[in-house]
Amino acid sequence: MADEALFLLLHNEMVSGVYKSAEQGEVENGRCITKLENMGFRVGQGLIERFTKDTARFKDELDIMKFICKDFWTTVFKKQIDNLRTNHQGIYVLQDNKFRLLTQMSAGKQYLEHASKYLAFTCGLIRGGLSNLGIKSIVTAEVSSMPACKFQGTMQKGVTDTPNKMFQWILCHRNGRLRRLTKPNIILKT
Amino acid sequence: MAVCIAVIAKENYPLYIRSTPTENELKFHYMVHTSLDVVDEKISAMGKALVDQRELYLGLLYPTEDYKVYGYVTNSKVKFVMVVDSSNTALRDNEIRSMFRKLHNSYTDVMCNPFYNPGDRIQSRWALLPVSASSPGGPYSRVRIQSRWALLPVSDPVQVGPTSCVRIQSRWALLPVSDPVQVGPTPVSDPVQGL
Repeated sequence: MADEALFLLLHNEMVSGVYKSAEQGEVENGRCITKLENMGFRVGQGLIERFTKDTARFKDELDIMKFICKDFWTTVFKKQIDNLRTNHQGIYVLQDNKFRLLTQMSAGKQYLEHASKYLAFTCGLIRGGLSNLGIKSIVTAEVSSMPACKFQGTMQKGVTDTPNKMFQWILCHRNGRLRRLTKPNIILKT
Repeated sequence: MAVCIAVIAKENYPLYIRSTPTENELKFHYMVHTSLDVVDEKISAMGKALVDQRELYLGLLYPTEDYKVYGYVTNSKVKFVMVVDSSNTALRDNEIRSMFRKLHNSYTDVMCNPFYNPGDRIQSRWALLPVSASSPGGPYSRVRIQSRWALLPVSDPVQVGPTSCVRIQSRWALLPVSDPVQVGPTPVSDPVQGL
């Protein structure tokens, strides 16, 4: 199990490294969690590309979430997600009862407020993976009792990056003046 | 013999497109662009009875009189399009599939490259080189990639010098997503022919 320890130790050092640089003024205070999350985001994008190389195409969002809970989590953390809940309207809750990155800390209430630092990278990992699969989301984590934790993902519907957006600004030449139309379904009169 | 390979992002702009330098580049760009519609049709639920929904390889998209166009879509909705010469009848389905697998492997490596931002044009000179070298009989297996702008068609494959003067022929080179491209001393007359 040596490879597991490698990532665990690297992750711990990463968190403390980011916070140390915050103390020395290189990073603004309060931006550390964002920095860790963005790191996780980029890693998640690359990881998902590698893991979905050989799998079949996904049918829908639920299929993607199941892939994340089973294959993705197993490959990264060597275990599956223990519980996946959804309200079928874009909110998913992944519960892990023994999160690998938190098992090294004591199981009581002592380090509860510090736990969020160690979850930021994983939140970014999930968000990056989902984003590369075409789902924009916001992922947050909460810990009620160590080492169990919950990741909540809120999928954003209706946010598309298609180039059609640029056609919402339609310029029409009317009576010698350029006017901007914001509704794309207005008939252009020249 | 594969005459053109294109990697298209999920927002339908090209990340990487290379074709054999001897022919009219624009024709291939149009072909790839029009094939995107066929790709979208195949991956939506419309034609469900015809194509296996779970497969990544899409097969022959459409044949023209000289060329055949094949497609492949990854789980991250990145599309690979390959244009193949019709005269080469010895090229079987399995070979096309293996070419797509190699392309997918190279693309995965590009994604994992920490210096690559997802969504940018694939600029790396070595990124997809194994693909061009391995496609059967491709004439650009001998080509050393000289041009800094991987998207601009290089007219002469053995041109020396990184800043070769090329005329912008591809209309995708002018889309806002790309960086402003510097053209050499030869003025570009009208790259976009009133499409």
